[in-house]
This record gives sequence, C-alpha cells and structure tokens, in this order.
Amino acid sequence: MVIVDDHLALLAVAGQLADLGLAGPVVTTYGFQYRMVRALADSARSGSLSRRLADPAAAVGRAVRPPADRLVVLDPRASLQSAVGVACRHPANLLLAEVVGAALHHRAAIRVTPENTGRTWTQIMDAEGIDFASIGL
Amino acid sequence: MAVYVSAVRRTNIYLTEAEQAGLDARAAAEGSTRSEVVRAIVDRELHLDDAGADDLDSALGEAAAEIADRARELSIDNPDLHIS
Repeated sequence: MVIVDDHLALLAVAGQLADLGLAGPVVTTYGFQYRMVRALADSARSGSLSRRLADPAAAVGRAVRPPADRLVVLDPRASLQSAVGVACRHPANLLLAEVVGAALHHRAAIRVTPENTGRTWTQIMDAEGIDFASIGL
Repeated sequence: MAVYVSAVRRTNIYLTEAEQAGLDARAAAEGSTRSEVVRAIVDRELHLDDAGADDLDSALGEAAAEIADRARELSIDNPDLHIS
C-alpha cells in the first residue's frame, strides 16, 4: 500500500498516475482528500477551471467518490490512535499526524510531490521508520 | 442493467443463505442473473460505474497541478491542513 498526497491522488483519480513501483493499492488520507476536494470546489465556484473542466460538479463528485481501483480514501478512525501517538512524539499538525499515523497503522509507504514535502517531514518519517519519498512530476 | 465491455473473471465467494436469497430475488425481479446483480452492487459501492468519464479524467489530469497549487493556497490559513 502507498499513501499519496492530494496532487498524486488527483492524478490517480484521473487514471494518470505513473507506476510508483510499490506493491498494493494507491490510497490517500481524509486530510489530503479534503484539500483536493476543497480546491476543486473552490475552483468550480470561482470559475477559474471552467475552461478545462466542462462539468466542475462532476469533477468534484469524482474526487469525493473516486473509483476504488484507482484510489481508496482511508478511514481516519482506523489509525486515529496511531496518529495521536505521532502528534505526541513530534511537532505535527492534523494533516501530518494523520498521514504518518496511517502509514504506521497500515504499514504503508508514503509518496508526495516535492511541493508538499514539509520542512520536518523527512526527519519525522525517518524517526518513525517510514518508507518516504517525494516524487517529481 | 449495466453493459460490461471488459472481460469478466470467475471469482468464488462465500455468501450466507439470506444473501443468496436476496440476490436471487433481485435478479428475478430485474430479469437478470445473480452475477449481474453482484457486479452492479460492487460497481456502485466501489464507484466503478461512472461510464463516460474519459473526458472528465483527461481534464482532471491536465488540471491536477493547478488544483494542487490551489489546495496549498487554501490551506495556508488552516493550521490543521497546512504543510510547513
């Protein structure tokens, strides 16, 4: 299993995510899905993507309910205890605690885009023994 | 009733008597088969029934970087979702 950020998740929803070379399904966290859907909804509301997205409402719906053979959204309740533990051990906000907690709980790798790699992320991932890398597109 | 253009593969699963009876009742009512009912339920549950989404997927893929940038902008003021 590999947990991806919102950018990679959107490519997965679109069926355009390159093979990450990891076994198991491509998944994302509720926090990253929220960021993805909010950005889509905001863009749909403001019309900034109307030229590219003929049906913004359908795009939002597809990101809310992604086809499971492309992307699965993890239930944050399953890894809540693990996420809380991460937040106790490290300076981590909800987004980071959830993704690290999910990786520990599901024994998953994490792949994000360079723009979504926080300053402390690599250090925290190393401390938690997580297979973590950023993927340039 | 869904039309399947992709190949189907034989899969064995265990179901309770009530589940089998429910599937058979639905199939009889719809004039379909137990397999067709199961496939339709699975497709709905896993969101695999969005036929004709190719154009949408293409547009989403092209806009992915722009949407990701917007997600970062929107999360700047949200300490729970900001990447710092």
